[in-house]
Amino acid sequence: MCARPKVTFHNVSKRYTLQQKKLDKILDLLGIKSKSKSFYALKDISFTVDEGETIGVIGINGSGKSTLSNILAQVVPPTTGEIEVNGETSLIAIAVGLNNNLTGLENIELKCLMQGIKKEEIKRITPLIIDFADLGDFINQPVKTFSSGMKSRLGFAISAHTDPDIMVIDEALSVGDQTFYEKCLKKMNEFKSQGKTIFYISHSVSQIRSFCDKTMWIHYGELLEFGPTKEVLKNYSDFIKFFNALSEEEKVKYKKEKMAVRQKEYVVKPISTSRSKKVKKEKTNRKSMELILLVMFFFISTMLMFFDNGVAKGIQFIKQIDMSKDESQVKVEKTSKEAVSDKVEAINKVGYVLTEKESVFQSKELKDEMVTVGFSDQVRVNNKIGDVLEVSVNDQLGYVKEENIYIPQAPFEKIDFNLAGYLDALPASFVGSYQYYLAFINSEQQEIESKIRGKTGEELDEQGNKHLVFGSIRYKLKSDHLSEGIIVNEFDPQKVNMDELIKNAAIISKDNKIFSIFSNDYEYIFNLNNQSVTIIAGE
Amino acid sequence: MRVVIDILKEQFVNAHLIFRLASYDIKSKYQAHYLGAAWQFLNPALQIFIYWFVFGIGIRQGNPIYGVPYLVWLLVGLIPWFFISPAVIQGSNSVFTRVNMVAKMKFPVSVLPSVTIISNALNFTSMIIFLLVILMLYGINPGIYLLQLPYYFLCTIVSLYAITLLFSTISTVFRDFQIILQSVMRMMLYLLPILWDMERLPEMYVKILKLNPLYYLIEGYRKTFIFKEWFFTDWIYMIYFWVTTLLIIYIGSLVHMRFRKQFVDYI
Repeated sequence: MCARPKVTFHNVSKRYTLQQKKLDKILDLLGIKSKSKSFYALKDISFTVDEGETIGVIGINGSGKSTLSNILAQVVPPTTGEIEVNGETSLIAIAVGLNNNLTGLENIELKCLMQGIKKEEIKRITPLIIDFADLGDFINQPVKTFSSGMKSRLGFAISAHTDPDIMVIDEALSVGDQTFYEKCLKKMNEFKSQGKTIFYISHSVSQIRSFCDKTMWIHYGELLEFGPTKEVLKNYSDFIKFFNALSEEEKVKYKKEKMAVRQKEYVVKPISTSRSKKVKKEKTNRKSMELILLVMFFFISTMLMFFDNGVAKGIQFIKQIDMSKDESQVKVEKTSKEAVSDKVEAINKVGYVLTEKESVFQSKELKDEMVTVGFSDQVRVNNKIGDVLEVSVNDQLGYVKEENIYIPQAPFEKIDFNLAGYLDALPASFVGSYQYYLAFINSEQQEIESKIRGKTGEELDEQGNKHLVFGSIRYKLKSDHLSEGIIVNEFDPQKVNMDELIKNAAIISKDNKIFSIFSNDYEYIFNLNNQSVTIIAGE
Repeated sequence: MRVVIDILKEQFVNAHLIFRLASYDIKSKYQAHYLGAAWQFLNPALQIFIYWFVFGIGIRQGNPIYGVPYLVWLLVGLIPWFFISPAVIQGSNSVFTRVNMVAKMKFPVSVLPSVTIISNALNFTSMIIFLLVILMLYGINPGIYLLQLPYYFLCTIVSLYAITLLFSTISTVFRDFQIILQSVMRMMLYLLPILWDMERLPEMYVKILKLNPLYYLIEGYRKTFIFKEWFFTDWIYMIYFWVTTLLIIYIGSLVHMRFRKQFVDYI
C-alpha cells in the first residue's frame, strides 16, 4: 500500500486570550490590537501523518492534547498556521452533545445531521448504531433517563459509524466498562485493518503502547517528540519519574517557567505570498464598493418614502405624457387637458361626506351609482384622481366628487360638549329621559324593542337602513341589527344660540345647513333642513 | 453579492437538514410539558384574549375599525407578530445555543437561523388557517387578494432570515446584544400597527414608523385579509422594503463569513 500524507500540520499555533477587561474585549472585536495577555495552547506544531497510521498522543494535563484533538477534528480553527486534512474526520469525546429531551433514536439522526451526513446514509447506518450501542428498549427513551455509561456508548456508536477516514479519540474509552472497552478496541482494530488513520489521545501509557504505531508527546503546548511509540513512551516515562522526584517547590518552579514561555508573544513568519494578498485586497475593494452602492440605494429609497407623493405625481405625469403621445395622432387637442385632470395622488386618509346625500359611483367618470352616503359619513380615501376621489365604502371601491368630501389633516379633536345645554330646543318626549334613550345606542333591535315602549313603526331610509320609530325619536339600525344612533326630529333652532353651536362644529356642510360636533362620547349632527339632531356613538 | 448568493445557496442545498432540525426543535421544545404542542395555541390564545379585552373592549369600547370588528383587525396583525417576534429573538440566539452541537467546522452554520424560522413558521401556517376560519365566521371575504398571501409570506421569511443572520453573529460575539434585542422587541409591539391604528398619527410620524421593515409585513397582511389592496399599489414602500432587506442580508453575510470559523471560540 502506497502511503500518502493524510494529515499535515504546518507551524500550527492556537492562541487564547486570557481573561481581559471588557473594554479590551470590545476593542479586540473591532480589530484594534490591545495589549491583552495571550496564552499559547499549542505553539508552532508541524508534523505529517500518513494513511493507515495509528498515532498516540500523550502528555500531562493541560499540555494541549484536547486542543490538538479539536483542531484535528476541525471543530476549532487554528490561530495561525495551516492544516491539510485529506478525508473526513470524526471526534469521539466524552462530552458528546446529545439533546436530553429527545429519545436515543432521534438523537442518532440529529447528531448525524449535525455532522453533515446525507439522509440516505443516515438511514443505512442507524440500525448499525443501535446494534453497536446495545441499549435495548432505552433507545426509544429520552436521553435524560440514560446512565452516563449509556450516553458515552451511544456517543461512541454514532461517531464510530459515521465512517470517517480519520478518527480522533479523546479519552472517550475511559468511561465505559471493561466489556464496552473491549468492544471499542475491536472496532478500532477493525478501522486499523481498513487502513484508517487514528489519533488516540490518552495519558494511559499502557493503552497507547498496546495500540499505537507512533506517538507524539505534547509538552506545554510544544511538540516535544514524534516517533516510534517505544522510544517516545520511554522518554515520557523518564520525564514522569524525573518530575515526581522533584520536591514540591521545584515542581511549582518548573511549571511556572514553562507557563511563562507559553505566554510570550511569538511572531509568525508570514506565509501568504504577495499575490494572494493582492487578490484579497481586490476582493475587499469590491465588497466595500457593493456595500457603498447598497447603502446609497437604501438612502435613495428612504428619501422616496418621505417624498412619495411628489414621485408618484412625477411618474404619473411621465406616464400621461407617454400615453398622450400614443393618442396624439387620434385626438390631438384633448391630450393636454386629460393629462392634467387624471393625475393620481395617493392620499390614504379618512374623509367625511359634506352633503346630505352623496352618490358614490362605480367608475371614474362618475357613472353607475354604487351606493349613497350621508352627511358626515366616513369614507376611506385612497387616491385623488383629478377632481375625483377613489374611496372605499363598505369594502367596495368607488369614486366620488372631491369637492363634496372633507379630508382633515389631523384627526378631530374631541371637545367638551354636552347636550344638556340645548335640551330646550328638543321635543319634550326626548328631553324627559334622554339619557335612557342614549343608553341604547349600539344595542340589539330586540333589546331596544323590549326596553322602550311606544314603538310606532319601522321605516327604511334611502341607504336601505332600517329605522325603529318611537314618535319623534328613531333608532337607526345598521345591517347587523345594532343601533348606530338616534335621530331626534322636531329640533327647534330658534330656541338655541346657533352661532355658538356652529363654533363647536368640526364639519359644516356646503350649504351651511348641516353641521357635526364631535364630543368625547358622541357625534352630534344638527340638520336644519329637516330640523333633526342625530346622535351617534363616538369612536 | 457573491457572499449573499453563497449563503442563500447553502439554505437551499441543506433544505432537508433545515426541516429535520426544525421538526426536532419543535419536538424537544414541548416534550417536557403535559399539554405538549397544545401550548403552541393556548399561549397565543391567552394573549389574544388580553389584547382584545384591553384594547378592543377597554380602550375602543368594542367599536369596529374601518368597518371591521376590532378582534379581526387585531388578529390579522397579531398572528404574524406571534411568528415574527419569537423568530427574531430565538433566531438571533440560534448560533450561540447550537454551535457546540455542531461537531464540524464545515457544517453550514448559516442554516441555524433558518431552522428557528422554519420551526416557528410551521406554527404560523396553522394560525393562518385559524385566522381564515375566524374571517369566515365574521363573513369577511378577502377574495382574490388572498392570492398575495404567498408574496407576503416570502417577504416575511426573507426579511426574518436577513435580520436573524446578522443578529445571530452579533449576539454570539457580543452577548449583551441578546438582552437589548429582547427589550427592543417588547417595545416593537407598540411601535407597529398591531394593537392600535397608526394612520391617525400625524403623517410625519407614520412615515418614520414605516421605515421599520416589519411595518411593511404587518401592513401587508392587513392589505391581504382586510383592506383588499394589491401589494404593488404602494410600490415605493415595496422598493424600500426590499432594498433594506438586501442591505441587511448583505451586511449579515459579510459579518457571518468573517466570524463563521471562530464561533466556537466565543462560547
